Amino acid sequence: MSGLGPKRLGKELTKIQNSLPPGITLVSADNLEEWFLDIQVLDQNPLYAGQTYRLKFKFSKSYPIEPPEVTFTKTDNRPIPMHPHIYSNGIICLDLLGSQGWSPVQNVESVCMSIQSMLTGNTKDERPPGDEEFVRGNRLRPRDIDFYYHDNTV
Amino acid sequence: MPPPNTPEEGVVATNTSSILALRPSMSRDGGGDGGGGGGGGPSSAAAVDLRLLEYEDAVDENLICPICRVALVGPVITNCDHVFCHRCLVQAHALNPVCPVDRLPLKLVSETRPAPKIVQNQLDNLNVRCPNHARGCHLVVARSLVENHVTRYCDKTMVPCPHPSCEHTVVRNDVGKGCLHYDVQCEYCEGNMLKADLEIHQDQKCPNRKKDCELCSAEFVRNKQEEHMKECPEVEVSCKYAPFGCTQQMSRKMAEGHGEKCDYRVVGPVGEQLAELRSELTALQEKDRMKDRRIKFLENRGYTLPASNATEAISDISLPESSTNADMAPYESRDQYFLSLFETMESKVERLSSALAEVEGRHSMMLINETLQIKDQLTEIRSTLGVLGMHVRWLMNFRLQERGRVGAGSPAMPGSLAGNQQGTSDPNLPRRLSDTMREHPPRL
Ligand SMILES: [Zn+2]
Ligand SMILES: [Zn+2]
Ligand SMILES: [Zn+2]
Ligand SMILES: [Zn+2]
Ligand SMILES: [Zn+2]
Ligand SMILES: [Zn+2]
Ligand SMILES: [Zn+2]
Repeated sequence: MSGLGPKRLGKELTKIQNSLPPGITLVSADNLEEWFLDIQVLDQNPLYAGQTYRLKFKFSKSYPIEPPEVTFTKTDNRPIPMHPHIYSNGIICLDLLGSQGWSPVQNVESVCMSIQSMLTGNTKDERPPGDEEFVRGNRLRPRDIDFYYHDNTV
Repeated sequence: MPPPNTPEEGVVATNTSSILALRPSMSRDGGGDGGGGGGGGPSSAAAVDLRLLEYEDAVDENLICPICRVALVGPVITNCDHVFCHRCLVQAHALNPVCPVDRLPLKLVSETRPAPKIVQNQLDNLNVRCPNHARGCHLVVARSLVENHVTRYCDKTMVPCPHPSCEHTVVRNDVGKGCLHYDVQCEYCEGNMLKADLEIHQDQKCPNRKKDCELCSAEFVRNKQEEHMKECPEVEVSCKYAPFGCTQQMSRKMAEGHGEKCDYRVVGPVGEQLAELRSELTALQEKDRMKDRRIKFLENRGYTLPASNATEAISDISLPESSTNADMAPYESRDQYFLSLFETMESKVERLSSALAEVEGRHSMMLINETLQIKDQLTEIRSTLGVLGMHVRWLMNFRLQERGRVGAGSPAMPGSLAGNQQGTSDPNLPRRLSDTMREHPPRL
């Protein structure tokens, strides 16, 4: 199945270089393994107003069959948004990014939009339970944490 | 929908056609049936991966796989009406057994089937570039033909090196050149590479492959210098009237202008006629020489001519000659001899043409007889087919009606009868079938 991923990513890149929904901008896509995009929450949610957040996409060889690894990245003027599903190290617990919730018809654009709407709908100014401990000790890959999160809530 | 296990099941047209439709796609895409895709990679699938092709025109959105985002390969349709490449769906399904679009649970075996033939045909007709594009094949061809092109005809396909102990591959075009897998140095950049790769390197990759023309300063690829020289506007060419005496040399871009002013241009048309006449003359001279040879041959009766020339001449006249050697005497002169020769030939030709006409006549008669028979048979078959069709329609109708009234118990059966009443049948008109059909079942 090699060869499929690069071809589809190439197509996606051409498309998002031409047009992206409002509030989403492509920062860099120097190769077909790691892309950076900025997102903004467009409605006046006081938690996120005026802020821009940076997302890092990492694609495995089997993308789009397998989900990309998506995390928030912290830089000087790009904080990690407050959200009960986002750890302070940028790891996002979103079921569509886990292997159970992922579908290969999703793409970078739709993932950005999902994260955008996840922030839009949030009213709680808090981190997931056990955030500090998790960030200190846990170095799991984001995909595995998905299960961890679900196991705790379901 | 009829319940399963009814006798008509096999007759219902949609069922059979979709099963048929799946066969070709299966063989092409390597195990592409909705029923589980047996077998990993047959040899045919290895030749060209259709999923990696480049399409010449934009592909209709409806023909694009939502997973790989290129035109479908071996399309399968789910019961929830979503279409995917077979291989894409299998891969996605292995990770998560749901329909990738609507995420409803999906059974790969029982809930998918090959996409309708019309979709496959549309896909087959998409124009794609030859996958050897990068090596220089610029062919654009229907997708269904590309594999054939690549495996059999494309000059740029990689094939095993003809040298038995060499394990490299080489483009098909170079097979005749023997093993090209030895090191050479590119004369332009001094890089080392295999001889087999040199041409592509010099055409496309070499950092020093381009060169400015010394004359017109246009840039061209060194390897294509000869081609550039044929069109370079600064190259010295001679006037197009040079054959008629113009001795001027000038650059190509000036030649056009000069041609209109050249002193020799008036001679041009005359010169062309002259050339024509000259070639005619040569042809005539050639003929003349032939005739000379024959005459000489006849004068010497063929004995002194060298064999190579004689064979041709002898074959022409051998027949009469064999008989004339003995009775040459009756002919008073050579002219008479020729005359008789001519007459013999003429009568022979006449006989041949009459024989030919006869054969032709016989042949066309035979053809007519044969076609008449076939035509008759065809009409017969057609009428039988019509009758069969009517029977089938009647039977299906009958079944449907019967099923509709299971439990009702009424023997009265609306529907049409066999025969020419078919066209005027009225489902609301009750009619007793049992009388006519059960006692006189249609002869099939
Ligand atoms: Zn579906
Ligand atoms: Zn596909
Ligand atoms: Zn080709
Ligand atoms: Zn070789
Ligand atoms: Zn070179
Ligand atoms: Zn030039
Ligand atoms: Zn001239």
